[in-house]
Amino acid sequence: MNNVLALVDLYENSDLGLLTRDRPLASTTFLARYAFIDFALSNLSNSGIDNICVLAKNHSNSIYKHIGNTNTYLANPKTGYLSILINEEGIINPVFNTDINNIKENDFVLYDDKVKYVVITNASFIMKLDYKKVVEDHIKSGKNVSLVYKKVEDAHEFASCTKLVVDNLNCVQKLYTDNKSSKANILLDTIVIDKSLLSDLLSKASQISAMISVEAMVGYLVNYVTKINAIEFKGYVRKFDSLEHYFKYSLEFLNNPELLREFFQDQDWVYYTTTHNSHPVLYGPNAKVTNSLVANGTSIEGTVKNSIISRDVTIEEGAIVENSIIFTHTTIKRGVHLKNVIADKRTIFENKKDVYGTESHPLYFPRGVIV
Amino acid sequence: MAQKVVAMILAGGKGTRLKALTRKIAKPAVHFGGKYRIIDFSLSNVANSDITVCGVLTQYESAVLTNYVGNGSTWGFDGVNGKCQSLAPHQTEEGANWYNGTADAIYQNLDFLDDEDPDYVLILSGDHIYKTTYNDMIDLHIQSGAVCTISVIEVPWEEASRFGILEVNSDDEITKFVEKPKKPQSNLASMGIYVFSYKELRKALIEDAKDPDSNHDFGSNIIPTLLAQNKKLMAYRFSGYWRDVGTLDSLHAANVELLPSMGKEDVIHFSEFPTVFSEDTHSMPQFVGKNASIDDCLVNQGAIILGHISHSVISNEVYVGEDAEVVDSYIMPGAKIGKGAKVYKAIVGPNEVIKDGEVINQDMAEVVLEA
Repeated sequence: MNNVLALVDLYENSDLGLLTRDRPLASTTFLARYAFIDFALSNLSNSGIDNICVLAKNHSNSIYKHIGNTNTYLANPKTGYLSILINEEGIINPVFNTDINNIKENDFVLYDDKVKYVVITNASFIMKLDYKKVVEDHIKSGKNVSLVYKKVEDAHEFASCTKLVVDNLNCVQKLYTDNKSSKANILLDTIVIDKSLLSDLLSKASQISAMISVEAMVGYLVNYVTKINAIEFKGYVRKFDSLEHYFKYSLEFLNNPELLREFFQDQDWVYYTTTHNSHPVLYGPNAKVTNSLVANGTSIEGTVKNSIISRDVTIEEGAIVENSIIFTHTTIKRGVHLKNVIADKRTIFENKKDVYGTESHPLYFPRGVIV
Repeated sequence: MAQKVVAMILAGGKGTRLKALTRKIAKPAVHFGGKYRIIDFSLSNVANSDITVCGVLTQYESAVLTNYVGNGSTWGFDGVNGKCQSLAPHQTEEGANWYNGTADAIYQNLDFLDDEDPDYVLILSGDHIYKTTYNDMIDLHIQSGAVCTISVIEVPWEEASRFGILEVNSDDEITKFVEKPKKPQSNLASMGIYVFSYKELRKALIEDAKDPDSNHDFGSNIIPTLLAQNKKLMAYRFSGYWRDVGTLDSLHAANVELLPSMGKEDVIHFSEFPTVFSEDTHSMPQFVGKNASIDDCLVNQGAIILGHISHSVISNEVYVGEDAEVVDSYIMPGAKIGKGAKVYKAIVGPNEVIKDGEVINQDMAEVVLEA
């Protein structure tokens, strides 16, 4: 699909507290070996979209570190490209650091004559979305803008999301944000827009004072400009918008083999991520491990249940890790019992023996702390 | 200006004693240790010795091996001064020949070496398991002014007659080389690792190629001829873990030696330098089920363990079903162990399926192969 340009917009408002203090959600660890942005990039790549730009708001170091070798995701890195775009003006004055300004500053990506459609998507929803189908549906609709949504019956889980009303003709009638009903159509922050319309809007953006962000642009389009096509996505979707949701939805994968199969056992739809030279996992003679995901490079001598263990973690004999998410290079020493804990990279647990959070309020330990 | 060393890895052997495992692939491409292939060890050793140019001599079933070696990026040979090339027999003006012996394989690629114009050539076998750097050996070679330096390892006297045995004087200069001597006068076995000064190697190979009675083998022809010519040949004493995995028993044993229970012995320690580089598959982290048990195992990413595994090496994408039992075994990538199946003291080949309830090798008398 070389007539499509994808923009992965990292200007989302998801705030996962200390977890996303030094990194965007996009490059935050997810399911032991992935980062959130792997899902968006792999979905795009699997959909045959090879022109991809990441709109980075801040912490670009963390994004570069993860995406680094862009060949990881692309079918052909010569015919396609994956760029990380920074809004330099926004570094000087953060008020102007918005996604619209980022696209405007880097609008050379729109010069490619082959590109007719622009997909703007994000990294905070986990879903197996086929963008090829979405673009095809958009073209078929004859409209110049499409929004992707999901019908849910647990709208309280999506409290931070924008909702939409869809009419009988599959057009977006209005957007709203209240959470009165448990049934709702959740906007998945995924848009297809004709390039000509986007270019036109960008040139006018400075005159439309309210249009400083993509979100505002969508609002403007719905309210004033055009009939918008609504595309329903029917698969699994979760929005990672708080530390509690991060914890709950991550562990959700452990207790749902169907979900693991859907995401990770599909030969035709592989999730790519940056790779490392980690050895296979070493399980000691007294290890006890159940219902867990474990990444390579890790060494387990102790007990692990219902947990997600990232790369290069050491769990000593006599240590217990339960219902927890452990990031890379963390060490849990003999006699320590972790329960409902999120441990960031390179933390060491040795002195305090019982470290318990609760299921609804997991304890978070930032990078490098010694507990 | 540093002296230039080019590595040549002999990887054309069939490895008949590995039976069905080498039916479709060359021995150096056989899987090892859950994540690796045998040749990863030699190639990683070369890379870790800061040698940037490497030829891999292939012949028997070279397709998988050539594809695996690729441009050498897995081991970092794609850097600015790097090169890693599979060298299969090829047609020339003189006609077309198979590689007829180890020396002939190098002889037929003198053009490759001439293009690189090295000072020294390191010749290795691609089917041994060991971690080292060759720098000390190359230093010894340069300082001694020898024509050729051969890496040797002390083997038990009773096994010495199975090896190529070197006799040395008090300065470790080689005085005699005997292939599989009936009454060994020394227990220094050749490891098939040679450092040659390129000019001398070139001369010796051209002479050998003209000799119609020669088997064109380094051990049987080149080395004895150089000794007969009173050239200086040095022995370099290697110490540490080194295994030839030429038989099912030795392949099984070398895999089992990677397990944590062997951790205090003189074995391969993954976390220590030099790192063994290998292909990193796009697999999900390994998943350990609710009723699984794992003790004393090495398990690679992508594996799904629902049953019981003990004292075993499990590769990527292996599936161990509910209530299945795997003991003292090495399971290669993609194999499926059915529900309730029992696998004892076995090597299970790539993508092999052990049916539900099937029992393999219950008496555990010797290692069996399922492939």
